[in-house]
Amino acid sequence: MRRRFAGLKLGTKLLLVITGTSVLALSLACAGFIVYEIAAFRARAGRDMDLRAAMLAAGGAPALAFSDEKDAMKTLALLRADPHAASAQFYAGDGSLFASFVREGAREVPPPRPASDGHVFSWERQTTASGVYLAGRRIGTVVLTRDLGEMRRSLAAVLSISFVLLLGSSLAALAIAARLQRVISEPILDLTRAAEAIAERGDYSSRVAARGGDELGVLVAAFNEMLAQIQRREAALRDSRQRLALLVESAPLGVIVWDLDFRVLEWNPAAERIFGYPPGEARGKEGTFILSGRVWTAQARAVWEDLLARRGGARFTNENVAKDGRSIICEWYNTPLVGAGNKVIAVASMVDDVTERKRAQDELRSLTDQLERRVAERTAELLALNKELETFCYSVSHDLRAPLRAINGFSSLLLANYSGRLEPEGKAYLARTAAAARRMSEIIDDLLDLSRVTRTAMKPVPVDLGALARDVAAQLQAREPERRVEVVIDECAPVLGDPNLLRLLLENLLSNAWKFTSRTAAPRVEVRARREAGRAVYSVRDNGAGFDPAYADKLFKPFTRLHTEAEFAGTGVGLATAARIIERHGGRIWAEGAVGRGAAFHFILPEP
Amino acid sequence: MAPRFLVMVILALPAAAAAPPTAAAEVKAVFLYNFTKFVDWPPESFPAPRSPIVIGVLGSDPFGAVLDQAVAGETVNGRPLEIRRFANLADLEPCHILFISASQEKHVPVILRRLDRTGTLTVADMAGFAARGGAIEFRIEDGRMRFEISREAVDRAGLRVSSRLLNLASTVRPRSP
Repeated sequence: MRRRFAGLKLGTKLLLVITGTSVLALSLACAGFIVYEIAAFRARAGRDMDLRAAMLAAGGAPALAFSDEKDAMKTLALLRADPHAASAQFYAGDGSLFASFVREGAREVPPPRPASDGHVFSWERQTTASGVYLAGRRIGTVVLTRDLGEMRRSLAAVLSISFVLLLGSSLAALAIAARLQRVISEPILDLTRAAEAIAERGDYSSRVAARGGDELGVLVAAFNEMLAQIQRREAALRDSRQRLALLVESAPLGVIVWDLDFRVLEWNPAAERIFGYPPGEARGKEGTFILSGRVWTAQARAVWEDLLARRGGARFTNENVAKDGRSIICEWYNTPLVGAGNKVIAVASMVDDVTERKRAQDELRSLTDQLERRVAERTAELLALNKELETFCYSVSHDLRAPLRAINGFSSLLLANYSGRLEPEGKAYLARTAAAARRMSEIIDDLLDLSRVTRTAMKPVPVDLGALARDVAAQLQAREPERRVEVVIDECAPVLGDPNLLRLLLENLLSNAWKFTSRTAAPRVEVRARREAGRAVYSVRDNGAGFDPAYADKLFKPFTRLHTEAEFAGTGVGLATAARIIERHGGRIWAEGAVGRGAAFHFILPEP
Repeated sequence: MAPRFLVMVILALPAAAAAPPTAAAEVKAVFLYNFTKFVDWPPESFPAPRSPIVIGVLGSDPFGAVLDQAVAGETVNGRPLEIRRFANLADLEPCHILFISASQEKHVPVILRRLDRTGTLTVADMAGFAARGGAIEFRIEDGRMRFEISREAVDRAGLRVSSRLLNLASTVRPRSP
């Protein structure tokens, strides 16, 4: 029933509702009226019968008291005047029938006695029972019966009038509803037609004609506004989708979208260029089709599972196979597409063919490796050669000392024992021979020092450079007691180094300073310590002859001399030895100076 | 109720033994009781407002326990009912209703004279009792108990009888002109 109503057309529903409501209301009104009518009749009839019963009781009481049926009958016979009275009985105190009056034509003779006082209504009649009292004592019962034919007739009249009224007003309600329902259903039907047109043709440009300002009017306006919004949004969506499609179409990278079963959903032209499959062929295929047989194992499955589980992309390079069987190296950037509820709805991949780049990189790497190998080889060769040279140099220097000592010794003997026999010119030659031999000995000593620096094993310990410098300066002063040189030495923080080599370093630098201040009026030598950029920098400075800064780099090369032997004696090995010591300690040394304005040698050593 | 009823039955035993009550006696007893409802006695006939209405039986009692049963626990106009029995005229005390037994028939003129203007409703079932000056006479008509009322006797006794009672009487003896 409910479902059948739900399936009806709107107009029919409204018609049914309006008509149904008015018929129901009218029926209720009629029913109420009838019920009221019956109740009112009963109340009236009740009062009526009570009165009659009271009169009969009063009249019949003495007859009952003295068991006088005739007199009781006389009293009952008064009812003949009442056309509705059907019968009347007196019952004695013990419940036995005492006197009875029944109108001619009544059905039951006599009607049964009610169990209690009061009124009983049936369709046919009303029965009233009431007590008969004498001097306050109940001595019997009077029962009156009244035919309700009059009430039935009036009820039938009311019913037929109600029915006619109901029928008439139902028809009127139907007629009015048929006209009124259009006011409501027409706009809704318009809306329905418009909605159907949209559903069938997707035409969002249609509009529903506006109506009055009631809720339906508002609904129509809202519907139209909604259509306009949908139209705008659809256009925007179309544009956006088009842009997106163009982006995917024209992207230089391959764009592939996978469903959750690792099957191709989207495949752009760049992907076709890379793998050789046109989109139509690729779509729906499982991803294994572009994987090289060597790769697609449980490992690839693990990568896929990991990708579904993660949030954010993963980048890796992989070997793939193209349609024509070529093996290609591809760089992949894979991202799970996470939709609402943090659920992965697809996976997007961007792919680039990096086979050529990879090949170029590999080539470059192999060339670099080759080059490095060659450099290493050459360096090793050079180192070996250098070692050989040094050994050679050492042995030569060492071996030269013996003959030199002979020259020196014998020329001294000659000069001591045979000077009287020699011409002055010969003595002079001999003296020069001895001096040359001595000088050669110095050179050899220095060369041996230099090679020792390179060859000896280092034992680094903390060393106090200041104390070492004072010791060396005292030795120099002792060697030339007549010279007056102002020496200033700073307190120095300990450095890490080999004590013997560091002494040799200071001997070289300080003797240098000592030597080049020999012609200065007020000679002064300083050993300074300062911190620069977090590191300790030591300087040995003098106010001596100085040097041309253009040659600052050459100073540290062996046998380099910027002054003649006549000006300052020297072998040209000292600074080279100093530089070699600093080098072996992993430090750095550099020179600073100008001609006639002194020189400074700065160095950095490792600290403990 | 039952024990009290039993006591009354026992008290009434000697009279009952003398003449067992009949159906007619029963009806008469009820009538005697009912008369109290239709008769107005002058106020001076009662010593107090709650004084009982006294029903007397003179001579041999034909009712036995029936009369006592008929009035047991009843009140009329707020007054209880009392039954008194008198063997002869010498014992007689004032009553409101006096039933004169048939055994006293020969003393009727004396009794009536004695009760003249005493406010006593005299009742008897002797034929011609009303004609001889009694107030109410029981008689059987068509097998039914009926009664005759003498308005003259009632008037002389100073009583008022309801017209409804007169209405039920088979015969009403009119007042003396």
